[in-house]
Amino acid sequence: MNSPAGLTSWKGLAVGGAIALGAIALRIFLTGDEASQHLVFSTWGTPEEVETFRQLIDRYNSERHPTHSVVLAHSEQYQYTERLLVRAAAHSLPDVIHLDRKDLPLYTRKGLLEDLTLYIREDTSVTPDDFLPELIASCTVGGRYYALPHNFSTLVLYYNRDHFDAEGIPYPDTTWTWETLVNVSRRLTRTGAAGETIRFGCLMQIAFPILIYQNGGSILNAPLDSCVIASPEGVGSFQFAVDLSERHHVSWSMLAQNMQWDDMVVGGRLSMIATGRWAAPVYFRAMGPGVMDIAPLPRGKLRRGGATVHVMGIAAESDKKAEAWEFVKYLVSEEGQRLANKDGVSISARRSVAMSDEFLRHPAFPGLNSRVFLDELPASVVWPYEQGPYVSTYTLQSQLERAMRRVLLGEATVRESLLKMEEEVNNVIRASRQSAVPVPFVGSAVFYLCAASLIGVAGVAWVYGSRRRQRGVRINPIAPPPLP
Amino acid sequence: MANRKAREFLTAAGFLLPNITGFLLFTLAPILFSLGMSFFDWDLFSVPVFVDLANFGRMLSPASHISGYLGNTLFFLIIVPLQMCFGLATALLLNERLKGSLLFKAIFFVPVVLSVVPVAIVWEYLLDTEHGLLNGMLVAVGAGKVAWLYDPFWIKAGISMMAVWQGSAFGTIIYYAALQGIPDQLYEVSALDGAGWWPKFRRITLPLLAPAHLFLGVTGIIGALQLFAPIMVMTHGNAGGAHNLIFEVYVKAYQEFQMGYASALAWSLFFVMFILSAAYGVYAAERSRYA
Amino acid sequence: MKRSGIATTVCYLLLAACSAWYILPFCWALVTSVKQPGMVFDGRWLPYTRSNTISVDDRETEMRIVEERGDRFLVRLSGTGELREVPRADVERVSPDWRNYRDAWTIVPFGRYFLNSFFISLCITIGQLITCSLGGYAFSRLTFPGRDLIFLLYLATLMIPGPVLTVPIYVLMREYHLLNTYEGAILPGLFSAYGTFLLRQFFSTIPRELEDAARIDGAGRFGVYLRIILPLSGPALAALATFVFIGSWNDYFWPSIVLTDPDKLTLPVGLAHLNDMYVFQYGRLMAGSMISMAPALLIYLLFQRFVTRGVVMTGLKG
Repeated sequence: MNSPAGLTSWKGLAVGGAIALGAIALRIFLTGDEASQHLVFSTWGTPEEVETFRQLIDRYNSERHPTHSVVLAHSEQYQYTERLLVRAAAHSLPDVIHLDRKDLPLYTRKGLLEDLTLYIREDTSVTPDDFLPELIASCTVGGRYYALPHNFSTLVLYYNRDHFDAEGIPYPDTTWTWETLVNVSRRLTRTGAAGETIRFGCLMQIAFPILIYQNGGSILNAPLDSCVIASPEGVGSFQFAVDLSERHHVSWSMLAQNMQWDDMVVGGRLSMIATGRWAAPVYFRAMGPGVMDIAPLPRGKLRRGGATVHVMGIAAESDKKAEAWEFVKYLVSEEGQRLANKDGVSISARRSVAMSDEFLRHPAFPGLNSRVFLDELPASVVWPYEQGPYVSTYTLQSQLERAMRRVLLGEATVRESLLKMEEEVNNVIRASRQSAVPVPFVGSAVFYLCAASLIGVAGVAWVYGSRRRQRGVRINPIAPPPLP
Repeated sequence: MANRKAREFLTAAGFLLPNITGFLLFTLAPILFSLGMSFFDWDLFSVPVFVDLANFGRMLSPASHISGYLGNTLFFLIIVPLQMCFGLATALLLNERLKGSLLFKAIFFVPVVLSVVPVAIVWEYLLDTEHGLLNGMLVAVGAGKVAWLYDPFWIKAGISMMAVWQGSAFGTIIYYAALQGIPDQLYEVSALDGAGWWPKFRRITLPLLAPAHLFLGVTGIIGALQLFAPIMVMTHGNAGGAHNLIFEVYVKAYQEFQMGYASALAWSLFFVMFILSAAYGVYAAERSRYA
Repeated sequence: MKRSGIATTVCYLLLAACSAWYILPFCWALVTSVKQPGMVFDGRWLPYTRSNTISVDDRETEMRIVEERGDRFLVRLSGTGELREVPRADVERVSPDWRNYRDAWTIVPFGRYFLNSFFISLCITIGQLITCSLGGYAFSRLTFPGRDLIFLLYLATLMIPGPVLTVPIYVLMREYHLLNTYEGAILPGLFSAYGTFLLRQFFSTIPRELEDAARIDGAGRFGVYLRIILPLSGPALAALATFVFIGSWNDYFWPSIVLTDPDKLTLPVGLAHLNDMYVFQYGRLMAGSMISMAPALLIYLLFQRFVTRGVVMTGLKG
């Protein structure tokens, strides 16, 4: 039965396998850690934004500091926070981190970011006055600086001038209230012969949390440790958002997907939309100059806007903090900010660049009243959600969406739905604040569980085996009968 | 005899060596890590705290909503028989070797070639409530609009439809390859006996495809219970009625920073999956025995 | 086997119905990729393009569309600012707009990503064909203690949900110094429980008599594997190869953990960067997807011909 050929074959295989393994092992354990020689800078963004950062890094590496070159680590926007968390868990955060200001309380609570207060105090080449005051203020937690602002965008109301001109309606301005918005939207909305909407008046979907703040309500309380959205102000604002589509029919239901909005604007099927600076390149490229312009968001009882701020922080565990600080300074410097301003996707956090004609009369957006972005900043709250140290934006976002669905699907009234949201969010906050009670490692329960699972696996295997033996099929329980 | 056994064992070891090495290095190590994590309380940043079985205990409390998530998970099992039947039917049609079957093969392969993000985005549009094509068709035939992707039931139906679309193409190719292995003589012999199409299918084709059934059944169950990426993309991270266990694992791990609890959930899902696929395996073995 | 005309027609009808079900969503993606920005959600299956000029008094004049009014459009002439109604057909006609492809091609470094994806997928495919066929043979034909248990453990690893594995995988890859390297994207892909399972199932259908005959002729296990099992498993190996290739071509999970250098990205990871959270440009994304799936489809079609010929040549089909 056992031929020499059989013998040599497994020997050959074993030798081959061993060689392959050795090669892999060599590759794995003999190479040095490449990353340790570089400064790692992580960011997200579309290919255009990545290209901007690449140019910045190239220039920095070649002109400024050839000794510690910067490498780019990049993830897509949807995955970015998750990837950062994974790296934080593995104690290998990138040295310089581009992050959203809303994440600061969370990151500082976990001690992931370097306190930059001393750096700023001792380095004369950078002062807080270089930046727009609201932005540098937003980089502090408990009075300490944990980042420097890089870019931002406020939410504004984009409107299609042609639609307004054709109706003879004056353009939106600072006097607009949400009532004005509804009235004008009614006039702009067009319905087709079959009752379908051909053109929608407005879409305020991503600005709707701001309405709550404008009415004096809030999503989380001031210490950011409890959800208070079911206040009368919260309920009223929520009802207003529902009414836009359900009663006034000037917007589409929040039960529809939101991914279509930019294309609807470009195709002239949506007259007004609340969104940020990032939409301007898309609209201007597709529609040409002179069609779209911007105005402040409509005002409620209070004047409130929304701002998203992107900041640069340094990892607390980085072993190249001095170099990292140099690079952060370059990113927020006049030169760095000018370069970043070019793509027009966001607004420079540096006062001198944001106030300059390079931004206000950006060549890509002729006729756009860009000053509105700056005017909206002083009254702005953190957008999309001020999350605090205990709950993430994702939780707030998904809970708010769920609350909206409960109302639109007729499962609950607005108040009931928001009370339920309060309860769910507060559960998450409670779980997050609780510190776990350590259990002495007796290991008994673990042992039993492992033993049980092993027995289970062995049992199933045995059942398999016994069935096969019973049947007298030698090889495979489910093999077909041999050929006739 | 012992010598022969030992030699056979060594031969097997040689055959399995490349596989086992990679398995240990890249698969088993992370899995054991996550098993360990399920006994700890870990927020991804701080030092993990050993809590014994507390994470598993927490699942039993009503506040965990675990039974609802389990229900959603099990709903997706409907995908498995659908994609197997559909895959088998198309494979049989292809196997008729009609003219132009290369074109059809290319068409049937399209869903597999597209990667998950574009597929999910296309389906998100097809299923959209206001502007979607499917609702457009429903309205055209006089039925009302359906809140696909939002209604707790229809979202499961919609996502299952997408999964069947992509999964049955996979089934087609596996079944087609398996059909190539059935010798024509078998059919010729039974044709001499005057057997019609159905008896031939029932007595020859179906039993001879048993290994393919088992493969598609087990991998189908695993895939259906782990349906995640399309749900994530289509619902933008808010699954609603399609919030299944694996989605809960993701939410707990990366949105609420409870890695220990997430690992415990993952391992519970593992046990559900293990029992179901083992049950299917035993069932398939029984079937092929009495066929 | 002879078929009647009616049976053939029924077969074709069924095939056509199945094809429609498979192809319609794809068609929408294809049509979307050649739609003009702003026309993606017009609810029509043909790509309509709107022009920005109109002839007024036999002169081409620039204009903008202000409003749709049934079968007429309200347009504003650029020079005078005059509003006027014109028939729909004057400004809108069916014609594909290739701008999305041009945009996607210039924005995304496809050439680079193609090479990366192709290299990684090819290595993984070849590697898996070897490891999985060896493993599949051992699990289906050899008898050794604990075989079924090992196989079960093997299968069980498919059942661990991915999200909890991200952190350990990242830590592990860092410890192996494989982060941001091609090896890091390839090595873990070389070993697959799916592939082993698939080939085990197929090998078990090969008649044992063939193997026994070869063994009596003095062939060893490896010889049997090489000269009997592999040549007889053409369709199965081809199916596995196509799946593995397409699978790794489309894989997002591993490469997105391991690769962060924009120069080393694979197609799906690079393509995902077009998917921004607050700005949606469908046409561009769909054009990118079409470009990235074309090579995979092409490889499949070429492979199909080869496989069919291979089956005939082994003589299995009698």
